[in-house]
Amino acid sequence: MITVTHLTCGYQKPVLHDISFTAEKNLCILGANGVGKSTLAKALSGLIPAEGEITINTEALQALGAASRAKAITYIPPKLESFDGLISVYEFVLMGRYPYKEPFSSYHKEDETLVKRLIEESALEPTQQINELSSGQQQLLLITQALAQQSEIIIFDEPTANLDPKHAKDFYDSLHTLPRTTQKIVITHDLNLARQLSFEILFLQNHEAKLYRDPALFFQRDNLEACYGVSFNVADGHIGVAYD
Amino acid sequence: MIKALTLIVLVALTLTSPFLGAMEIDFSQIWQQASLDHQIFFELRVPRLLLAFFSGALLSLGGWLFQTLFRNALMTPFTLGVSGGAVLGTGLAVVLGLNTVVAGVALTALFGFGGALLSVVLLLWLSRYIIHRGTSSLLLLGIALSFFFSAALMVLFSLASAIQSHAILHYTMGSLSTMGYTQALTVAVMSMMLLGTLYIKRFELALLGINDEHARLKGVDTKKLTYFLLLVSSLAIGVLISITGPIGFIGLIIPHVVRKLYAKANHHLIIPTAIFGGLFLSACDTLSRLPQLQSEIPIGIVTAFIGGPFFIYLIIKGK
Repeated sequence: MITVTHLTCGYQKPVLHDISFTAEKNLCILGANGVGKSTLAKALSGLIPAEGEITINTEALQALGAASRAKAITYIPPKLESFDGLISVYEFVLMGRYPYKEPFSSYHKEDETLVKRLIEESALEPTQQINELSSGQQQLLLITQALAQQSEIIIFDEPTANLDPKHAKDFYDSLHTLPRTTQKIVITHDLNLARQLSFEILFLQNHEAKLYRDPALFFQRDNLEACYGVSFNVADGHIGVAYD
Repeated sequence: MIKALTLIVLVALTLTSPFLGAMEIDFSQIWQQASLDHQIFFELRVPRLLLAFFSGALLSLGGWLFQTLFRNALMTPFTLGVSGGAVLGTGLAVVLGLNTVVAGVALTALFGFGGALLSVVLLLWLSRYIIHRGTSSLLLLGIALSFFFSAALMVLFSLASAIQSHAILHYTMGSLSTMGYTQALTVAVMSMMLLGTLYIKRFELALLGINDEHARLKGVDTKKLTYFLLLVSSLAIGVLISITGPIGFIGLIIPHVVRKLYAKANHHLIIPTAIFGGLFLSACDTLSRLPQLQSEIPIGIVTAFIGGPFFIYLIIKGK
């Protein structure tokens, strides 16, 4: 569960202003480009400073130490960018166990066993270097690392933006490999993916956030058109922008 | 193949080091305690080799650390002005006539450390204003600081007496000569301290090697870690530079050379970087004293003369 109270955050200027919401279940964050979806995600995962309160389960995010925060919440960026591309898949996934590692010691045997199992199930090659992976494999790698990290909340930032339809479907399926107890927050522009997920919807607009507990209300054509300012065709359960 | 070849050449040159120099030594005499040959070999040549090895290791580790911390291939204590700060600090101590040792600490070393630390603090303070502009702005900032520090050193020159001026000038060329065991041991301790610190923090450094955001998401307090590592490295680099003066280039190229030769993840290369750096500087020191030369070549010239072309070869060959 995540509770946000009077949250103001941004960079030089605030992008989001005085936002409050509570999400107990899985959540999908939607909104136009530049409206602050990623900014919100980064504030929630403690990557950028924020005014106001963010409570994860019962604990204030700002009061958590770095390792406890990593156990509580993590964020998966749209694309993996690495200075060092020669790190192997195995080493990368093992880094997910860092918050559980004691200082001055190596990773435990159990950590290594868990990571080996997760990589086996993911069909990645443990010895492969991360700069050799395709976009789809990178997304899979990041998810596998998040599985190893076992955070209570995982935020996915536009996970399918760089993926072809097949890999986008793979991503959708891989969400089901995550434990039910893990709260998933997905940021996306893909309305069909959002509807298929049938998570609660948080729509960001004009520095404000509106929560739809029932996603069906959000996906009504009038509402979509009001939200995005463009006409939609909705046929056979598929949402498409009306280009003509 | 090329890795083995490089290692063999470096080790061979390093081992030759104590047998070369301005004085011809009769090697049958070096075990005679009272002989001049014994003194030259054990009191000058051996500590010089130790100094060269540990200086090379320290400078390379410094370069490796800065490249990893700031995730930019051009970041080194030299390009970021930290070495310039140390040189200025040491120069200041010389001008003030503080060539003494207080409580076992040479004041020049203290000033060298102070200069390095001050430039790190200045760099971090200034970087707050450009943090969102990426690491290349930080690099520009460091280069500007370097120029400023060397200008300030020039001002010091003109304030100093002729003798002091000469001492500073000689010092700014960077040199491994006329050193004894005290200096060699000091640098050895500093390089081992840096090596030990990097080794203990290897998991955190591996996480930082992806990117800063990633490390924080996995639970690394990157700010605290960066400050700590910058403090330790300023101490090591400041003390080293107060002793040898600035020896450039090696901190930039050795981490890259080792990366190309090993083709392994960055955090596995801490120890190879130290060893290659040590061997490379020792080998360059040997070359600077080849008997065919009329006078000793400043060490910084040799590192650039040998390292430059080799580095270009590795870049073009790519991997």
